[in-house]
Amino acid sequence: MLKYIIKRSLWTIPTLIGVLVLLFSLTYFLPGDPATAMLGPRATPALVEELNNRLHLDRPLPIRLGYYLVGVVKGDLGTSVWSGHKVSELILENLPHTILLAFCSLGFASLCGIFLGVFASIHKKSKLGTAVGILSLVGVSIPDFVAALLLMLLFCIQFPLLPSLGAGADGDILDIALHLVLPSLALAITWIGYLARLNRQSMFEVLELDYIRTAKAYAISGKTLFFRYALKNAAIPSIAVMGMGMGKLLGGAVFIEIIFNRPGLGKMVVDAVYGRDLPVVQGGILIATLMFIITNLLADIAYAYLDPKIQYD
Amino acid sequence: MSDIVLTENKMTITMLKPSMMERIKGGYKAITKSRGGVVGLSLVGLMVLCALFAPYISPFGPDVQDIMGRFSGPTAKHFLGTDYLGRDILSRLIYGCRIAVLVSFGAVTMSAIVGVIIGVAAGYGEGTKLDYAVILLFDIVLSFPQVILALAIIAVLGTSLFNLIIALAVTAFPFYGRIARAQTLSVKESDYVKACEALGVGHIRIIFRHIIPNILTPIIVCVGMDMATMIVYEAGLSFLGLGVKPPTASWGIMLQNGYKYIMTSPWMIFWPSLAIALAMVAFTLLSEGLRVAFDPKERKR
Amino acid sequence: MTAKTLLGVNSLTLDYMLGSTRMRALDKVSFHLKKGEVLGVAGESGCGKSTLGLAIIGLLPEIAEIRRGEINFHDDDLLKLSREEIDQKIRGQKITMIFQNPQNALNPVFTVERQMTDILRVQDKNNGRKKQSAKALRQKAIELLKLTGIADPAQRILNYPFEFSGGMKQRVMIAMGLSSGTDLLIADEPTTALDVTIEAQILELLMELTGKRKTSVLYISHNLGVLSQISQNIMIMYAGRVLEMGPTSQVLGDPRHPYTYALVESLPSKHVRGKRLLSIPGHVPSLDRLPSGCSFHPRCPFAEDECSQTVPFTVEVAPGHWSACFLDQKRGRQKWQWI
Repeated sequence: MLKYIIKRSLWTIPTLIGVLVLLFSLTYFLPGDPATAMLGPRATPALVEELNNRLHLDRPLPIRLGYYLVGVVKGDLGTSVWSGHKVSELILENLPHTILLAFCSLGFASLCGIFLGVFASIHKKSKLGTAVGILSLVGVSIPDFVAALLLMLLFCIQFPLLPSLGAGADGDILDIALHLVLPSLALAITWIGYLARLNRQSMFEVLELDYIRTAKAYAISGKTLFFRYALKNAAIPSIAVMGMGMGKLLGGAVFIEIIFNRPGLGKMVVDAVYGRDLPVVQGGILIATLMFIITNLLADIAYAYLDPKIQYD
Repeated sequence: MSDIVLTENKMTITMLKPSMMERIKGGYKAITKSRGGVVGLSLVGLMVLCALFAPYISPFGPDVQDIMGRFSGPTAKHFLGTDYLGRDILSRLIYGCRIAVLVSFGAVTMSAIVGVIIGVAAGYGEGTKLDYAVILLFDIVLSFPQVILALAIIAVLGTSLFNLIIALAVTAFPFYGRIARAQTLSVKESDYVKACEALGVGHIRIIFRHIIPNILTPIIVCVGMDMATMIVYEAGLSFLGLGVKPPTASWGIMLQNGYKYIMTSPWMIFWPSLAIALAMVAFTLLSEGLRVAFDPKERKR
Repeated sequence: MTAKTLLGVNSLTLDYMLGSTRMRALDKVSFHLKKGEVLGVAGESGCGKSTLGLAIIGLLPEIAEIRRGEINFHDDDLLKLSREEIDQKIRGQKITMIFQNPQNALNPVFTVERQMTDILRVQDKNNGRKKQSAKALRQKAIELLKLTGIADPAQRILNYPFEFSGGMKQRVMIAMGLSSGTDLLIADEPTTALDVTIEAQILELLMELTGKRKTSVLYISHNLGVLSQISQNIMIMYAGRVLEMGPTSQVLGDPRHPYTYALVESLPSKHVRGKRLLSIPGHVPSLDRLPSGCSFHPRCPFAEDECSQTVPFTVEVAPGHWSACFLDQKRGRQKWQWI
């Protein structure tokens, strides 16, 4: 098991280097003079010169790449062009909110989705099963930001039940939790629909397999059959797909944070894009991508744990 | 001699490769077998029709303002109501089909072509430096969450319809590339390709006549799903103001307007949401239908 | 039904429904099985032998619909029992089944110990026995593995299925099949997917264990050679019907039905050198389009008018020896001269 973990982790290194190079080259592709582009209408010769010095924009490409990489390793991701704060500080401020949101959504969606999928496969002929099937189709079809807007419409405007904006007062757990309900739900809806369909299909396939026939031949049935014998196998594709789910979730978090006006990585990056604050954009995307890579790695390891065969491939 | 030998001599193996027309007809018949496929196909057809004939179908132009009648709910004159400038929502929805179809077709076509070319090249030269480089390239691009990568590219290139298509295409091409590469690898090992190689058939010929037709099936299914996601991404990025520029009628822009006026008029948000959801349902059902149509196991049902 | 008859199948008829297409998988199949007897069920692929096994143990797929018939086991008609009753009293205990391909027969994410103890636990529960401790169950499982010739069972029981070879997996299946003192073991081509040398070992093991325990065996196979070695009685099936049935030595040594004759003659045998192997022209009919009358008549060179008009009855043509052929019944024993 350990060997597999090491092998798989090592593979992320060249990818990570490629990611850094790609991110760095964003500045390279800016049309025109980078400093002017970043400063926009505020550009004066003095400011441009200062920015050039600060970001080493007038040096040749390899040197700039070098500065950037060294900075990353040291934990210095540059400084925001607008606010002057260090990018790493901004990230540390915003990241926890996004992580909280992501975990709530992913956790809720996984439990719900897998359970619904198994449920649909058990009751496949009854009306309940069809209902779940339709619900999951709806879930898959509604993108997260659309769901967020509709939820906000329904639960904040039409029936004012839940708070709509912000993340809740610091330190007040109940308030924070209330503010998390709609955003997590919005993010989770697509995922629940997808996982429900995936697990339903996966259960059908697993239930056709020989070892289920063996179990049935020895009078193993009902809940034991579905939940222990079948599910542990059927859920494996869901775990594999979780890693990708985090990526979609991070992408969706961008919209959710803007719509619900929550602090977070997504909002930070989008605001930086509006303001052409490239260091913040680079830093934010780097962290988001890093999170994605790590969750993919963890998903692969969990997958190998659940299906022992994979380790020996 | 014995009958068995004679019979073998008489047996001829005829490999019938169906022509393109036959394939399309077969595909059409197969999709219509499942109810979902029919619904999906009709909805997509409806969208395409709206996109093509928008000026003839929609009751008003997308920019025609009726300030006195703004924020109205559904009325006889404006079936779906009006937005904050009094523009007819139904008309804007129909014109929005244009943007949706244009962006999704454009981005998907671009990414599919680029992805397939790179993927097939890598798969055909399995184990070479090119192959490793391509795998690494795919992994790197796929390490970014799609939306975030698109954001970054737009941040650099600027906001416009064309840049949007480019950004989306870049985030999507590795999906097609991976599929193309995996399929190329397996087709390469099949007997008839090996026979072609042994006969000295040129590589290009092998690729175009044998490999590409065989990878089409999963690619087409992927295209179906991808169109849906592209429409959603266009809407999302336009919603953020990073997609098409207002006052273009795009569903995303309509959502952006609706968000600003969420307290005043729920209709501004509701109708574009419904449109986006329906578009997704349409493409999901269509690609499910395609998958079922091409899956040999399901064919027998 | 005499006191010693364990299993009595009467006129079992069932269809597979594929949409609106009806495939008659079994047609009026009847036979008896005594305690301790090994009955071979022979036939080509698709003749219904596996379906018969599945019907007895109650594991038919959903598309199967039983039209008529009885499966009498001990005092019950299995077809009249509910699924729960079968689970509780019969399946996995009194009637067990081992299948053809052991490769995927064990759940890949559980250890062998886990699967065996699960089954033992279910057996205990269904019998109203006291729950045994995990240790006791593991011990019993290890004993069972030792019984079926698996080396170092205490260690191997902790392995996952993918760490076992095909032959070893089949031994595990046999161990489970005999774990409860079963009365009837249905073996559906258990050695077909194994190497020939392993096949011989598994066969010997199976026969030894079932012989010792006086377990009845319904051995399903297309391999007449194997059946001739292990079964006392044999049943020849074709397209869902029983064509001939009786003591193995008689049926195979002196076949009454043209089909049986052709099957036997198509085997390479060291006794007949230089003679061309017989191959039956034509192919097995599709079960949704069975020929009228005798289902073999289109391929039978001796067929007469009657054969295509009426389904032959199964008649006892010699003591304990039944055949379903008009010509045999009319003319008595004869040498079928195939071209």
